[in-house]
Amino acid sequence: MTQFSLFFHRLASPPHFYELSKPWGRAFSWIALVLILVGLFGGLWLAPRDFQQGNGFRIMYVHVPSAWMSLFVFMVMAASAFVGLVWRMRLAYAVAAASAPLGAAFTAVALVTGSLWGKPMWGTYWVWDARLTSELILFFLYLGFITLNRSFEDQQTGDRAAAILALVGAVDIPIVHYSVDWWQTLHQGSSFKGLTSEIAPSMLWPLLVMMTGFMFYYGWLVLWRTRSEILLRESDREWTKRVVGS
Amino acid sequence: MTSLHEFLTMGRFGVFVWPAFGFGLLVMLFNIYLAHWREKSAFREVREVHRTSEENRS
Repeated sequence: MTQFSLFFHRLASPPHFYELSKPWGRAFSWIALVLILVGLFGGLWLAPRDFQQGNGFRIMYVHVPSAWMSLFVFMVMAASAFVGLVWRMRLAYAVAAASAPLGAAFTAVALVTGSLWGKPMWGTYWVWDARLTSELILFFLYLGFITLNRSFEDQQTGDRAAAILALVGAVDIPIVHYSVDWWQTLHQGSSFKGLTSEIAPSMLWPLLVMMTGFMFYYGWLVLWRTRSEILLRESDREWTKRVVGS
Repeated sequence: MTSLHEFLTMGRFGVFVWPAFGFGLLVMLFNIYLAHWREKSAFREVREVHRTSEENRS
């Protein structure tokens, strides 16, 4: 067994993960705080006003990272669901369950801030175009996952049912992403083409900093929530007794 | 941004920009509270499980 696979093998052990994730979570929280504060300062103060959208474009600094995270978190859930179903790894189910409320929150922020951006730019808070509708479906998928996961007396059955929903629901991810290319939408096209962007560097850097900050914020909270999920799933094990100090 | 006044009013877009950032911040803080609450309730539940099993043993 190589060092790399040994590391992941040990990481899959709930007690080991529980201990290891604590310092990582703490580090992630500080990195997220610094990055988000720098991104906010850059986006709200330093970035120049857009020549067409005025200062309204600044909503981008909360909308785009949230929308991006709404897709990323669902991909993490689908990947965890796959690992859970194939290798029956309990930690993977815990990661998926911990991610779902966070993903739902990011999606809600993306939808609400998108509406607030849409009103001054399009003249309406909402249109049933492909991007907005597929993002709304993503929000319902998150809610469905959370509900399904908690609907069974037996947690393992709930985990498996929700994992299947996550895998099937992952079909929505490319639809959300490519909707602006596949259909004629009111929503603007993607500003990122691979690693290049059409956004001016003075406006782009705060966006990238915010996106990275949101990633670390998610990393922090998913580790925190996964620890709670592990405790609940392993509540009858001896090691959890030591952790809760009873 | 050229002045504090422009920053606060966001031109004529303040009514959209500030609620967007406010909502985002509120949700992010709520997520932190939820994670904290979930941890507390997990601890409570695990303590309860161990207490019950101790009682059953004795």
